[in-house]
Amino acid sequence: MKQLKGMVIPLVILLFWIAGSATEMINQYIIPPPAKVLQTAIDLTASGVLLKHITISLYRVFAGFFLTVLFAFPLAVLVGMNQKLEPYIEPVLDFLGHIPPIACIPMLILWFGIGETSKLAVIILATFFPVFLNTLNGILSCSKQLLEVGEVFGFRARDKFWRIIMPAALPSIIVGFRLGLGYSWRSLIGAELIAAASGIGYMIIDAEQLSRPDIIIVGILTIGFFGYIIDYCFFKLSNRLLPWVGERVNYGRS
Amino acid sequence: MAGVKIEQLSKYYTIHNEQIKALAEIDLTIPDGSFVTLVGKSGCGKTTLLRLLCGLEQPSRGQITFLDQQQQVVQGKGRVSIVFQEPRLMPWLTVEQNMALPLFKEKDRRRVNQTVTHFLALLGLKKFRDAYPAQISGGMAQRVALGRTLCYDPDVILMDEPLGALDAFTRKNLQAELVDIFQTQKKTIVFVTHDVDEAVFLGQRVVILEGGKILEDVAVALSYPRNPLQQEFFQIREKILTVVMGEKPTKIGGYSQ
Ligand SMILES: Nc1ncnc2c1ncn2[C@@H]1O[C@H](COP(=O)(O)OP(=O)(O)OP(=O)(O)O)[C@@H](O)[C@H]1O
Ligand SMILES: [Mg+2]
Repeated sequence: MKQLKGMVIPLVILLFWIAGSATEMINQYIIPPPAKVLQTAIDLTASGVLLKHITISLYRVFAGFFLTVLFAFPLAVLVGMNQKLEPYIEPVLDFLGHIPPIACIPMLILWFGIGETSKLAVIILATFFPVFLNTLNGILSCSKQLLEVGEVFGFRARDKFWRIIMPAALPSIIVGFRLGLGYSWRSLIGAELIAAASGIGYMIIDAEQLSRPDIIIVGILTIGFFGYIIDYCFFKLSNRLLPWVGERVNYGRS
Repeated sequence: MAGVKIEQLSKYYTIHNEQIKALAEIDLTIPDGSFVTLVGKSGCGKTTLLRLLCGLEQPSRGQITFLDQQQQVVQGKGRVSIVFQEPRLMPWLTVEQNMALPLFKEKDRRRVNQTVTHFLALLGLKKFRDAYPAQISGGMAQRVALGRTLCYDPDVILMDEPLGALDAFTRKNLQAELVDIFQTQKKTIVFVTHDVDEAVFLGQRVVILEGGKILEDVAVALSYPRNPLQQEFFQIREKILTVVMGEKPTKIGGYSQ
């Protein structure tokens, strides 16, 4: 039922689009009719062009994401477990957090050219903050009361870390990963729009040069579609990893 | 097994440059295998004493030593565990896993399972072994917390108003269970409560604290299980109330038992 309700608005828009195109109220050189867009989508899929671009973009996102997690996560753990470091780091991060990764692209292109390195750099910039900050927050907000329970049962520092701090921080860590993946997807497209020779963002900007709005629309819908799928998979994964969180266990209670 | 010897124990806190004597030169000996209840008004230092006993805080002055059955000093800290006023269960662990938590070092998982199953049954939690803490009631959570400590099998069990948040029925049941556990497991138990009836029902001695000092140490020479309607029970209760209130209690108050 909920899924059906979610379809209402897209369907209304589609109907207006169809009606507007059929009655030529919409200029088809600005917004091509749905049938044309569908045909383009089929062509691009059949020829493998769409697949090629989307694969490259996805590959960049996942590579960049894992690379970021590989250093953002341990760094957050390090800072979280040595709270003396926090005063050094916090103001710097607060400042950097306000700079959108896209704003750094010109600099990154100067440094790394328009190859893969600059794309990875953009993704790393976008992913770092949500992963780092949420992991750090999860660790710092671990309840002192629960840590005392470990203390009483003779936990050593290592036991406390693995048996109390990490599981307590896990929901927050997963939120950070999910946000990070979303951010990196968005900023990658931005980077590909500005400077790239492949990827879904490049496909869109290339279509602009060719005056092919149908390809642009297919590109935009593809970006949304894959962003949605990635987020959905992550949501399912987090439900499996966090069986004690959510409506099923009425978490608000204790 | 272990008894506890507390000598000249003091704990000071400072709040806004003002020193608070939470505990002031306490002397108390708790023999191995005895059940002591601590009563006293709010803020008299009950929680502070328990936290010092289990090593969550360090004394400002004085010392705590643990004694074995022959009254010999045990090196270091004995196996002491505390049941907090709140259940403090790990939200990510099921009831069963929470109870098994203190046995994390035990390699023999079958033995862990046996111990946990034993206490699940004893505390009437068998049906809920796979539930998460958010799925059980407050009274059940408190029983899980108690079960967790029993699984740890400490020599000394400290309890900080563990039944405070429970309804009268559940409370009575758990009191009876506690007496049972005390008699069968032969633990040293220090039990904090606000409720004088509960203190007399459970303790072999009732220690009354006031302003960080021991006001009186009342022996309860009644056999278990005790009957709150018994004349002697009533007299001891009256006596403790008189000491705590610093005057004769009015006759109007009823029993909470
Ligand atoms: N961490 C702390 N910092 C400062 N003062 C504290 C601290 N812990 C306890 N105190 C003070 O020590 C005194 C005794 O507190 P304690 O918690 O032991 O009381 P209590 O007997 O357990 O009271 P209640 O029955 O209300 O739980 C109080 O005056 C309290 O303000
Ligand atoms: Mg208290």
